[in-house]
Formats: sequence, structure tokens, C-alpha cells
Amino acid sequence: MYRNLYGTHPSYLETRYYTTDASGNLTLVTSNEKTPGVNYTSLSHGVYLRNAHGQDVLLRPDNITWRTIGGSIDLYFFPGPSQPEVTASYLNVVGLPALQQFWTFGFHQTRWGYTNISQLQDVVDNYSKFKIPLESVWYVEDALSRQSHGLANRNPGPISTT
Amino acid sequence: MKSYRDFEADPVRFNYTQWAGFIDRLHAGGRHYVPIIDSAIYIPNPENETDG
Repeated sequence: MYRNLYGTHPSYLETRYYTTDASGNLTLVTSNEKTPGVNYTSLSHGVYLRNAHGQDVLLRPDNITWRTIGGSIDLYFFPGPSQPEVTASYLNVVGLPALQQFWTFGFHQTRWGYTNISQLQDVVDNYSKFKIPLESVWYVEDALSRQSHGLANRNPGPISTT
Repeated sequence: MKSYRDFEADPVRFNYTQWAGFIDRLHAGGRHYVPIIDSAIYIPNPENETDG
């Protein structure tokens, strides 16, 4: 419970393509064109910098640069050699994500500034009326939009076009 | 929210009985209700001991 609900684990997975000859030697493919009759294979690897601080990751044609504003250099290399092994190694480090309830993937309705409960009931009824699937309603009875007009009104309504 | 009290609602516009009925109907339809609490800070009147 509560494990791995939030988090960001920036990593990359790179796949390189090679041609293979009769004796199994690999030659890196640098063209986007595929030559008929040539045997191709691929190798994948991944890299993950475990660092919770603010960071930039610069992807450039010939290199990748991590910049962080703190923490340590805790760098993981996942040698693959294919994509499933890279992903499995990565998951061993960061852990599996928490499972979500199925309904949370459905449609959610929320809005500020309903004036009463029957207005909210009408919104729900209209979903049923028009056969739009609705899984949940998020609601806050907010005081701020009502009591501090002009200061914190978060539901000002449509801008007049006339 | 009534007078910036986090767990009280405006009794006229958001009557508790009506509100409970709305949630019951929502649940009866297999739907979920997610309450959002926007915390406010209520400053009671120090001159009125029944306030707050």
C-alpha cells in the first residue's frame, strides 16, 4: 500500500540494428533503408539515473547529457541484450507500479461552482440520458468562489463574445 | 463549506439529506463519489464563545 504511487524514473532504452554475415559478425546499420536478402538483428540496452532532484536530460544526435541540481550519481546500465530484458532489469530497480482500480480508468466528471445539489444531479442524469458512460463524480463545495468574488473565483463562466 | 469550516456545508444550497440522496443514487448506478476538501482556515470570533 502507498508504494510507488508517485514517482518519476527517467530512463532510456536504445535499440541498434545490425546486419549479420555468415560467421555471425555484426555490422551497425546506419541507413534507414532496408536491403533485401540481408539478415538483420538488433541489440537493446537501457540507462537510468536514479536521482530525485530537478534535472534536465538533453537528447542530442550523438550524445545524451544529464544535468541535475543535486543528489548523487547513481547510474544504472541495463545491458539487455533485447528489449524485454532491459525492461525487466529496469523494473527490478524502480519496482512495479501500484495497481489501480479498474473504474479509475473510466470517465470522471468534475467542475467548480455548482450552486446546489440538484444542479449536480442534473449533470449526472444528463450523462445517463445521452448514454455517456460515467464512472465517478469529483466534487467540492467550494466557499472561495462564492464568498470572495473577484478574488478567487475559479469558475468565472464563459467569456462573452458579444 | 459554511463560514470556511472544512467539514460543514451550506445547509440551504447543500442540504445534507439531499446530498446523501445524491450520493446514494450515484452509488446505486455503480458510480463513485470522490469528495475534494479544499482546506480553509476559519477564524472564530473571540468575543463569542459559542462561535467555532
